[in-house]
Amino acid sequence: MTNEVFALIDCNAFYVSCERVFNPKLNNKPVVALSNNDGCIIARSKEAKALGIKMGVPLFKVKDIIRREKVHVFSSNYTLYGDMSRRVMNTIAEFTNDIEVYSIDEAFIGLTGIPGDLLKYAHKIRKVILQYTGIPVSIGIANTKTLAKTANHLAKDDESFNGVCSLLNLKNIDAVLSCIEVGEVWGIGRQLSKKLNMHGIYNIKQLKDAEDSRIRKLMSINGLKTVFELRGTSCLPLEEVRTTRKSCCTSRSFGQSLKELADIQQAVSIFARRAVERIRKEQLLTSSVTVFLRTNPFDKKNKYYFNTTSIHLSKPSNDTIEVVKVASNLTRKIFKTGYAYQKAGVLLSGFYPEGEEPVDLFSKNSTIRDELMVAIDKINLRHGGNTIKIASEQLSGVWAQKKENCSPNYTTNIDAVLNVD
Amino acid sequence: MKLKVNSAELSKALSHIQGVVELRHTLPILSNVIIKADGDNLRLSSTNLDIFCSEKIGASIEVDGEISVPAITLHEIVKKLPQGSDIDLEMDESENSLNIKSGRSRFKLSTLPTDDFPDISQDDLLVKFIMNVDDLKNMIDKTKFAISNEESRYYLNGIFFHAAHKNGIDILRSVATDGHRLAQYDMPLPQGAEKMSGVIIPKKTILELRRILDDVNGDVHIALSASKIKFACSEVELVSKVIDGTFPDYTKVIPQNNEKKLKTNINDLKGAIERVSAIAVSEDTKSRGIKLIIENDKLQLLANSVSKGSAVEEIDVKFANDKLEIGFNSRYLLDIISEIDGSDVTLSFSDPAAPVLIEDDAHDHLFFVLMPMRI
Repeated sequence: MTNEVFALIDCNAFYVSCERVFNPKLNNKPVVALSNNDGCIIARSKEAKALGIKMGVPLFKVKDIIRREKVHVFSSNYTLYGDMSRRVMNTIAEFTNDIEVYSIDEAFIGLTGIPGDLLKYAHKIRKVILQYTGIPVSIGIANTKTLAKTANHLAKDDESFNGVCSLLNLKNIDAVLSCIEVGEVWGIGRQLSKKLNMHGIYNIKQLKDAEDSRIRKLMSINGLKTVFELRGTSCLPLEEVRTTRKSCCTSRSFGQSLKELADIQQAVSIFARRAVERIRKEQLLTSSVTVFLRTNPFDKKNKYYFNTTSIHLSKPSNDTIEVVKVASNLTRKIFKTGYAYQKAGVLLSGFYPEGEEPVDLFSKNSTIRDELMVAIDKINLRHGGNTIKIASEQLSGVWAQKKENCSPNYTTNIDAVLNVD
Repeated sequence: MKLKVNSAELSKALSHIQGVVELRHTLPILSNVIIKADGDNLRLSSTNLDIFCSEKIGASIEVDGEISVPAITLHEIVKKLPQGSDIDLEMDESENSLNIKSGRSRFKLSTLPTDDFPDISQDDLLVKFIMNVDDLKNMIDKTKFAISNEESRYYLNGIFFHAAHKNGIDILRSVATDGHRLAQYDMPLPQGAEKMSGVIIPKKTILELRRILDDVNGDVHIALSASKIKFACSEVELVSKVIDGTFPDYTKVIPQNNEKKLKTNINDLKGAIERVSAIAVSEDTKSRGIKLIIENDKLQLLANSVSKGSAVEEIDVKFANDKLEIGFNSRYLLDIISEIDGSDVTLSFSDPAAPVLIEDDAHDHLFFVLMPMRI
């Protein structure tokens, strides 16, 4: 057992909680938030959960329950959620510098060496986050990150914990772990869970007690790390500095099926621009651009088509104009007439940090374009992300996603700031 | 068709020509080898539409004929038969199959009509010359590592063979570059090559040719046009389309005034780069950068990695200039150093952002250009 202590702070039904902060009438009512294009349920209040609405279920499958039970439905509003996430993370950072922002609504923190009662300390963090941001969180405490995640799961599921669960010095930990399905372990997905079930491993205790050689065969070295973590040996340190990303993907399903190449190229241009803007922010250059297209896999009336193609850039780039041009050409390469396309995406990979990219013997270096990109980023930062676009994006927006129930950007748009009478 | 052939000879010939056969193809005939028995010779041929390869071997032929069978399957069978054993091949016209008999083994391979086999016309190959096989090997070996694999710059996906002048002498030159490094090898222009047009020989052709050259001796007869090139040596013949593109004007990127010269022992430099590179390879990015600091006849090689640590090594050099710091992709630098046969190497620098000229002190017909990396 290691002496390290980790806590996982996870926002409760984060997207729903964000909506509730600015619309308190939603408290104690069933609320769901939808994925891009209003496709699936990706966040549920506990009231919605109690109605039997499952996570990830397509909206059309629960339309009847939603209508009957008057469930409040929200299209995803990532501008609002991103800003609220920033506020939550900043609040956590007031307590400690040992913070790993794991996702939009989760952060690990290091509690090693903090004196006193850690349960009390966690309750204080929870209270302050709620007070500062309006977002309720659950906190799991343990000697490893994987166990902290499990503790968090318990804190969420069992109201008697009052939002904080600690597995530190727990004498009957095996009894607790034997009640939790193996699929709930951090890093064990549905397929791996099925595989483990087939080998007689159903709960966390059984996984924790399995022989190392057996785990190695079933789950590889990363699986063995997970098992060591469940035994209390920390193998996954806090990643306070984000590791350099390996790829950057922007993909969306379209609001309506697209049949024309020009419409798809328009959407792909936007995806390419957004992906490049993201890597430019991280001071990376891409050397590989991939584009993919697909029709609706659930449409049984029409033939399914999926295709993808990539190109290696001789000169790594984070120039929007260049990458959009390449992505548009790749789209033309895999586009086939006669299909109704439902989704497309752009994946950038093969990154070099700016300044470390190989320089080409034949290319002419131009700083003017670099300066242009800096200027565009500055303008878009000040006046909104879509102020300066690439002409190929056009403005018709025929592909635009469905966002029928989107809340206002309460925290980032001055016109959407709430008025209190 | 009915004949007897030695398994070792047939296996060797099949190993030469099966490299051209495509595993995934559009035409079924492209995965087959054509076997043609005529007089005392057996000719085996294959193509992928871009490269045509054929080889003649001796055989004891009872009945002439022509047949096509799956190339890789035939090679798999032949190479597993006892070395040097006799193989009987007989066409079974009633079943459209080729019967193979050796010792107590029997095989029956399905065939395809040979009429469908595409032919590459060789009529227009008007420029003809002869090269020694070792010279051709050198022209390939010293440059092929720099061939680009990028689809976007297809015209760099091969070695550029062309006639040129150097110090008033006519030469035959091979050049390859991927935009980051360039390799150039010269040899006296063979008689007959004066009117040759520059051709970019595709990487696939280069690799197949190079495999064949290991098994042949003597001269290689070369014939070419602007769109095709043929290599004939011993009993093997390889005809290939060349890349339809314009090789960039590489002479413009060869540094002419790099005055800061560093001389050192090739083994010292190679060993130091290899050791320091162990740290230089980054898991997160593609970067393999190492830094060279040159000052007072000392070259310091440095590598840093967030996850692995750091490395420093110092070697003695001759360098009569002010301190210079420059970065390189360690793999590119090693690739070049590995092609230098002499004991000493000269690196000529201008500034840390400009291309570097790397020369083998023992051979003035070979040099390399390498673009630095910003570190």
